[in-house]
Amino acid sequence: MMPRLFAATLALLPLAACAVHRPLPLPKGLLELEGVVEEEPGRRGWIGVEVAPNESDSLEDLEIRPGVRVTDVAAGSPAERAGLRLGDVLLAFDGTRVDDPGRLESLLRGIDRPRPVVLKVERGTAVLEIEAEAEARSPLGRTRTLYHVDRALVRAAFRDTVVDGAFPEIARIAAESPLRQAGAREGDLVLSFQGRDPGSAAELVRRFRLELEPGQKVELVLRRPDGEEDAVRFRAWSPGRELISSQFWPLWAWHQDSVSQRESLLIGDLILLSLFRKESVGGETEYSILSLISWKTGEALLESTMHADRGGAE
Amino acid sequence: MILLPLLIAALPQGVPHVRSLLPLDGELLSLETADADGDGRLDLFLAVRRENGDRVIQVHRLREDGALPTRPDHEVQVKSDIVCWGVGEFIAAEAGAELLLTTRNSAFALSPRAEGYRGILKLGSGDWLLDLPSHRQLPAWPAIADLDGDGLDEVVLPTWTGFRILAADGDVFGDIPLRPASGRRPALDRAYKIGPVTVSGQPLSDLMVPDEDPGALEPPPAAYASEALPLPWLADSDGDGLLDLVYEWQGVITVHRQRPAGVVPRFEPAPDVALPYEDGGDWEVASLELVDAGGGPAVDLMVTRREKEIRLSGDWQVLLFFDPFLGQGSMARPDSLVATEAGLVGVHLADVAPVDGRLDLILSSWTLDVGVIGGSKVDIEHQVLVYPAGEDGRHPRRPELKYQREYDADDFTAFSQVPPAPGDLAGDGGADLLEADPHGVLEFRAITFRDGKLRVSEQPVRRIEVEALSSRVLVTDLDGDGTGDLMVLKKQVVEVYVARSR
Repeated sequence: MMPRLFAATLALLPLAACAVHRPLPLPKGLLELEGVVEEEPGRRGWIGVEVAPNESDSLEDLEIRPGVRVTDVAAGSPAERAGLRLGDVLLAFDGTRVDDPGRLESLLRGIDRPRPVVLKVERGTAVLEIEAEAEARSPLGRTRTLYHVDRALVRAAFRDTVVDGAFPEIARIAAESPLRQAGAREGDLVLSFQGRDPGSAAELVRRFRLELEPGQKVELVLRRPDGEEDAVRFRAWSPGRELISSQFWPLWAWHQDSVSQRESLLIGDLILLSLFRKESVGGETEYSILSLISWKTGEALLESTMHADRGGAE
Repeated sequence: MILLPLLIAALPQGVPHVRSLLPLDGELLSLETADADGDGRLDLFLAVRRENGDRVIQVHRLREDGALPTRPDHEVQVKSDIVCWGVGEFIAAEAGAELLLTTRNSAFALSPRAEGYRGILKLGSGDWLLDLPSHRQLPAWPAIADLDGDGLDEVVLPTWTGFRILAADGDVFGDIPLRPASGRRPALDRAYKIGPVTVSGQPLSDLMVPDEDPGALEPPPAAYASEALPLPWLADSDGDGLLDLVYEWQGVITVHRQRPAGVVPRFEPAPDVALPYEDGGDWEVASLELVDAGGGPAVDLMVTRREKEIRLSGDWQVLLFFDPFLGQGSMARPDSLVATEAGLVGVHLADVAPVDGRLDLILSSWTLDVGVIGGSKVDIEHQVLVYPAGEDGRHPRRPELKYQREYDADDFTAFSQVPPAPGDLAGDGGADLLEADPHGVLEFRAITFRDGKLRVSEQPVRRIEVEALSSRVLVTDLDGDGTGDLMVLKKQVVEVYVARSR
């Protein structure tokens, strides 16, 4: 009988043992998204439209739809002459899908002289094909975005390209980037992210921020400078996890809360009585043995007293 | 003659202003100011209803030179199910303020720099009292503040059962039960209001405009107009450094104190202080304001009350209570009491010359002078009375400065909209006088302290040619230089005058 009871107790012990980890928060500042700008020479295409993401009109049931919505058509512009209207949805520009405003920007950047372009437009239930004469203009501002940076999860920068489907190109990779460790190199084009069109560089970085969690699996299809296509798989950068709780009852129990700087350790926890107990909050710690002998240690304050010499020089 | 240039030089001179004109391409619905980009300057957030019916929130960022761009730096299209909006710090990774957007059941935070709504953060859910979106309205919700001092803001939202205090990370700091009152239509009193916080008995926003859409498929619910809660205010009622929830409801000022970090919930449903204020028979309370007037670090209370009998002119009293919410709260005896006779009284607290760090009491009273009975001539009399604060922060019963101006007009409503003592406008540190002339031109007059007496400059130190009588004039220090900047709100344009005092 006794050996069976002993075996059953041994079998139950692991149930009482557990350890809890929690993910560490991302360091502040890493998440900042920032475009670097410099002067831009040359000309770029212009058709005279402003566009926004094509989203449903309900915030409760937000739905991202294909294409970009036309929010402004400049008077006398190529778009107006071609019959584009406010509220139209631009689905494709010269055969390339446009699902975010950044993609249209990079496609227009590839036009340096006037030429006809074909716009695929959704208006109500009809899908139209409209031909417009794109103009080439010098940019009003003298700045352009060099690249878009994801400092946290992929730790790389991406820029828009004007050729070959306007896929984003890897502009910079940090030394400790998981993307570099997976074999990606600067100059590679990103053809897909998680099996879908990556959109523009800004859209790709935005999707990293919205869709990825630290440590999550990522799949990118890259086109190398030599034309070879390659799928790279890696895990998004993660700051790691810290142990916050561990117990093997009744032998020990340990808990830590780094936010409130509390830590407790119990050895021999017999519910009403513990053999040894240590509780600390900040710099102050309380020890207890068998709940009978206890003492506290804390942060000592050393005070120095200055005595004014009222007696004058002697 | 020789002394004249010296005398002129000794007078406070008006500071130059950078004028920005913001055409709205529609109608201004509401306005907020907040730092949109983390540069320390306040930027303008404008809710606008475009001519095509779209509601948008436009952000104009104040530049270092004091100018605002004509076209907005950021624009957010407001979706049809959004009821109201606000501005606060909700996303730690984003520099600058974010937008609070509430729908029927949810509250969201969105960076104004976001392209579309894909980066939106859901703060939480609840059965909000503000649950009917209007195509024509977009009220701004003001009860947003950093309650726990973590750098991120919390918001107090009205529900059908009271208030819910919601943190940026989705934590609920507390649910305060309060039964909405029936019988009054919601109307947001705070839309363009600035200055000291007000515990207002005024109900909430006019969110539903009846018959605005004759072809609407669903008629508004029958009870839409009858539920109202007080506007909640966040102030340190007990001087512990934590902001508490304060509201006035049905004759009682109620305080729910915030518990320190680690205590759950941070706000108990039961009130800590319930302070009935009595009108005292012949008096009715015109306004209650939470102010920082003196005494300890806890917030103070200013009560303005008038005779119940409505006449052209009547007795008004201003009562100031220092730290009235400490302990169980007490309004037994006011620390300052001043009285005047007028048709309408506005009360302001500002540090008038000599600048001593104490807030002086400034009464702006308007009276309609009908002259001899039966006569046809009607004048408006405007008086500004200044009661300088003593060393203990209390104010004398008699004013030390009386400034008077008469207008040949028969209605003071438009004139009284101009805040008469909005703080320092001339850049000399002391509060100045702001008023409109009969043509609506804004005039600054310096209040100076010379030879032991307070004086108002006879000539305006600056005139700004705006149609103030048909506008709304706000004064806020946008660029943080200590001198008030002017915002003149018209239906389709906002004019901003930023003082360049350095």
